[in-house]
Amino acid sequence: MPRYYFHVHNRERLEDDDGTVLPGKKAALIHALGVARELMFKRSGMLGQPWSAWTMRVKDKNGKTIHTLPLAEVPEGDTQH
Amino acid sequence: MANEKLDGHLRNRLLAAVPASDFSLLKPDLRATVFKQGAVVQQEGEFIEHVYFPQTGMISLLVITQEGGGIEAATIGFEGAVGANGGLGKRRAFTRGVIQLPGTISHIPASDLKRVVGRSNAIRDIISRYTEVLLVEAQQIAACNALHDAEARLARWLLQTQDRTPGPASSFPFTQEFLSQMLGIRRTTVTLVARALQRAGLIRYTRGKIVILDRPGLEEAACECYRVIQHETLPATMGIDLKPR
Repeated sequence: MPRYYFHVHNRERLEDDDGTVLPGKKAALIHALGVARELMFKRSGMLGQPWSAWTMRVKDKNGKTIHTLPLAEVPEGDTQH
Repeated sequence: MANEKLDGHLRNRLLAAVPASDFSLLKPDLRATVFKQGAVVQQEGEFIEHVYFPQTGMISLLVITQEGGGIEAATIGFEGAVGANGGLGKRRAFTRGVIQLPGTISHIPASDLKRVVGRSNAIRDIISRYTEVLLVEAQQIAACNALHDAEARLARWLLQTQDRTPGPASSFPFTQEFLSQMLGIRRTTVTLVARALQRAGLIRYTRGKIVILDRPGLEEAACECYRVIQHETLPATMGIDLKPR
């Protein structure tokens, strides 16, 4: 199964250097939404910048971006994993 | 070096609070063993067989759900004990006790502790007071897990863990997988939040290892739950003196 990497950035860049093994692109999107919701949970701010200012970029092992998720556009939802 | 073994047991704060005459009742049944990371000392759903008093190292109490997921309900080090209420009578455990930091742990069969408790009001008092303290810790952590964000909770968890290790230690062998289970969040979220704390200069995070660099900064990043459960102040704040008078 392929490995996907879930980086977030705005002015700063936070790297997910280990990545997560998932069945495919759809599973990677579901994982990305779950992580995004956990990051935005309640207080929603990091490094002095609100989470809504951040964007998550999901990349495959070749560094190709397969999903781009501005956190401000992530819908509310269940965060269970 | 007379009493070297006895001194070892007394590195645990609860055992150190036992008056000397009562401690002599306990001592013949106390053993000290070095436990490895990952060892399970208490299984949820089973009767408490042994009571553990860490001298060093750290034990997590995990609530395990039917789907197999888990989340930490309390962190116990040299300030406390696991299964202490098993000394009051036959009791079933509702959490899994897992060694998270290896160390030397004093332990006693619950049946032996119960027999000693029958002869020592001081030890009974210490156990019941500590059980009150643990209740406050666990309810605060439950609220924290439900209400506070991942960054504040990771900061709180690192601080509470550092407080419960002798030294205190500043470098910890924790993987993202492990922290993910402690905090009930995805491993990817742990990685990103740890990266943010690192960018802020509060910790250094490499694979499987976390070093606390800026404790005051980490206290700023943590939620108020950290201050509530600080073991140095919590009993007194509650109006409890663990040492019998």
